[in-house]
This record gives sequence, structure tokens and C-alpha cells, in this order.
Amino acid sequence: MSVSPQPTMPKSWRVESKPHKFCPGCGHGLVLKCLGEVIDELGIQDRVVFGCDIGCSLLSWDFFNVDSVQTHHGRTTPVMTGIKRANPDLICIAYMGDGGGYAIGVGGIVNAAARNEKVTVLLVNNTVYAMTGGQMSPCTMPGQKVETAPYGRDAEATGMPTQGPEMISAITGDGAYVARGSMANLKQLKSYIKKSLQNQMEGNGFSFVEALATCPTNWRTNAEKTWEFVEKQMPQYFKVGEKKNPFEAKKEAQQNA
Amino acid sequence: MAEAMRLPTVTIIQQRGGPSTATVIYSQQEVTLTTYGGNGEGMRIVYSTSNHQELFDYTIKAFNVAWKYRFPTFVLGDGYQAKMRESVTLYDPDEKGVEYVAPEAYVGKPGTPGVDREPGLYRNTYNTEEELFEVLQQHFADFNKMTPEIIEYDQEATDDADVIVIGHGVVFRGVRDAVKELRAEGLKVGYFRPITLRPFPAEQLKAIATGNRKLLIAESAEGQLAKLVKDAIYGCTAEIVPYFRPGLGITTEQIVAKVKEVL
Repeated sequence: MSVSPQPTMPKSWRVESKPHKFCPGCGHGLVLKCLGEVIDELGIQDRVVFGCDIGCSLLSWDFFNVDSVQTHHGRTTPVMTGIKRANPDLICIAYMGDGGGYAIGVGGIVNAAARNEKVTVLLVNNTVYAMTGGQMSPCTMPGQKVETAPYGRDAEATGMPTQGPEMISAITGDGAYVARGSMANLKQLKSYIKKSLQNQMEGNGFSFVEALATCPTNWRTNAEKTWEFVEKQMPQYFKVGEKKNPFEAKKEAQQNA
Repeated sequence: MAEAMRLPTVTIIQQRGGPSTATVIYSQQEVTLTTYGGNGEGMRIVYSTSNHQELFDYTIKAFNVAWKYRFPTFVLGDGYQAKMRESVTLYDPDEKGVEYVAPEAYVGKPGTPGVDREPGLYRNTYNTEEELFEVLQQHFADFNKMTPEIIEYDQEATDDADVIVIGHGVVFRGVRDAVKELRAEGLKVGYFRPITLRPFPAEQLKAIATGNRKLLIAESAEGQLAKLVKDAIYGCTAEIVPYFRPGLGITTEQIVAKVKEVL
């Protein structure tokens, strides 16, 4: 029996576009691996529409063997919402970074969340605008040195990091699923992504997962420091866990009944 | 994005005064924005309507043209057309024999992507300059091929005209009536009205922009239509006479007076 030397790719990945275009050590690949495995496990490859934003996330425009739309910067949530409304049988995933989601695209996310649109938003938070060279993003942490904050982010002048899932959970109605995972705990992140898609498939409401992810190129970190940053430092400001879970709520209601 | 991805969009614009918030009343100051207002060199189709019936007719047409050629299509009206009342016959396009161009889903077609069919992969960002260059060449070629099939214009009494009045949109109503009046007085005046501002009926206008004729351009803007005209008739001998009233309406009487002034 021959053993394949290649690590297994999710079935829904598009082999023709591999190796992918992300930098070595980038978090996108692992987040997209989780997503690919979830698509396989749920058997929804024929129903998924994948929308990616501008920034590094756009490099995923031909990542999957699923219909994919690369949109304008910050416009992925509205585009996916439109596709979902036009064809509710499709499962729409809006994929973006923290710059696209929390700065230029925040209007789209906030209003889609407030309307409890039945789409899934998967937002990769790496604390910088990575494609353009590591400028300060909404999620840059206080004191973190980046290209446009060479002395570290000054919270007095530029505010504190955006708390995305906390905001989304505050403005969504019943049925929304909101969580923050991390590539430092892939099993957990994958389970969140899976629930966010199941939640959409059940038509419960808006589904949102933020994934803490690495960007060694712009953090200017070696492997050890990169891992330490995503595993130890980021959770100081970005608390990992489920913020809103209709599945749990349902269970509780049944127990109390 | 619609330009880059060749999405069949229809946008209806009713022009206001500008720049910025300016007035919500009326202008023809969004001609440049509507025809060419984007980064890069996206191709668009722009119909300029002059009354309610045309707004209705051209909106139907815009959907068909957008689906057929896959360029974003605009119906360009203005604040007057948006707010005034006049008679219009609403009809079922089927009863008029209008044939619909069949729409097509861009995503979610039958079958599993990568197994039964190729996935639909739509993007507006390219990795290399050459990639973009190639895509754009196709856009330009398609647009040029389409142009003779869709350009629309209206012209009258131009054969022997000393002055040809050019106007589009709601201003054309004043132009048409003024020419009628001036002809009744025996003056050699005609009109040319571009209906598609983009693609512009350049060859047709060029054919009459001859000799020492004057082309009087009447528009409620500071030369946005004039810019399209100049571009179209480059090299012609006719003289361009501007009649620009940015953000203001233009009446028949004003056009009559202006023509008499330049004749």
C-alpha cells in the first residue's frame, strides 16, 4: 500500500490554485483549511458561495472549488447578503480581514447583523493591514508597533482595538451565532466555523466568527514570537469563546421546559 | 466592480446640482460622472432620457442591453424628470412584443463545482499588469463591437443648417421646440440629440459637423456634454458655441434668443 507524501487537502479546495499565495506562516491558510474541512463535512460544496474582500483575503478568490466572488474592499457582507436574498438555498460566506470588516466595511456588517441576515461572516483578525505593508488597523493592540504607528499604537489618540464579536452580539437578534476563535486552537476554531454554517443552514440568523491569525511578515516576528503573539498576546484584548449560541440557547430552553 | 466583472447592472440617475450636496433640484452636471466617473477605464452604457415615457421605455431597454452585452447600464435623468408630473403610458413589455434577453445566474448553477462543472470565479483584482491588460483588451473590443448596434440619436433639419443646436435629456425638449420655431421663421437651424451619451454617436455627429457651421451646445452644466462632443468631432471644421447654464433649466425662449444671437 502506497502512502501519499502530501498532507491531505480538504476536498473542496481547488488543487489547481495550490500552493496558495499566502506568505509562509500566514494564518489565512489554516483558517481556510478549517473552512474547507467544514464544507466537506457538511457536504455543501455545491451550495456554497464564497465571497472574499480586498486585502490579503482576496488571495482566496480561487482557493475553493466553489463559486467565488471577490468584491470591493469592505463590501463582501452586502454582496453575500444580496446573493443570499436572491437565492436563499445557497450558503453564503463572506470572508475578510479586520481592516475590511471593522473599518471600511463596518457599515455593511453592522446593518447586516442588525437585520439578522442569514449569511456567515468569517473575519480574520491579524491586527494589521497586511497586504499593503502592515499599517495600523482597527485591531492593532495598544503599544503594538506597526508601520503607521512606529512607537506603538497610542490608545489615547487612536482608540482601543475594535471588539468585533462583542459588538455584533450586542446588535444581533435571536438566532445569531457569534464567536471568536483562534488559529492557536484550530479544533475549537473549526467547531465555531462549523456552527456558524449550520446556523445559516437552519436559517436562524446572522453568523459571525472572528479568527485570530498570524502575520509574521508584518509583525516582523520569527516562528516562536509569531506563535507567542497569537496565542498569548492577542487574547489579552480579544477574548476567545462563543458570545452568542442559538444551539445552546435552544438546549437551555428545552431543559427549563 | 460591475465594470470589472461585466455585471449586468442597471442604475437610474436623476441629476442634482453640484459639487457636493449643492441643490436637490436639477442639473445636468452628472454627465461626466455617469459616463466616465470611475477609476480605471470601465466601459458603460448611458441613455439620456428627456421625458417620462422615455424613462419607462429606456429602463426596460437598459435591462435587456445590460444582459445582452454585460456592461453596467445607466438611465440618466435629472431632478426635473424625477419630480415633475406628465402623462406616461405604462405597459406590459410582453404586450408590446419586447423580447427579454434571458438572465443567467452567475453563482449557484446546478452541479458541484470542480466535479460536474468549473466553479464561477469572479474577481476584480489581478496579480500582474499583463493579466489586467489582456482582460481590458477584451472589454474594449466587446464595447467597440457593440457600439454600432446600440448607439441612438435624433437629428432634424441639419442638412442645410447654419446652426445645429445640440442638447440632451430634458434640455432637448427646449431645443426641439426652439428649432421648430426658428424654422417657421425661415432660419436655417437644426438639432442633434445624442440619446446614448456613451457610447456617443460620434460618426453621426461628425458627418454633420462640417463647413463653417456652428454647433450650439446647450446644457445645464459647464461643458460636460461639450466635452463629449469635442472628443467625438475632433478634426471637424464646425465651430463650437457654448451655451452653458450649470444647474439651471434652459427654456425654448432662451435657446431661440441664443441662436439668433449667433446666426
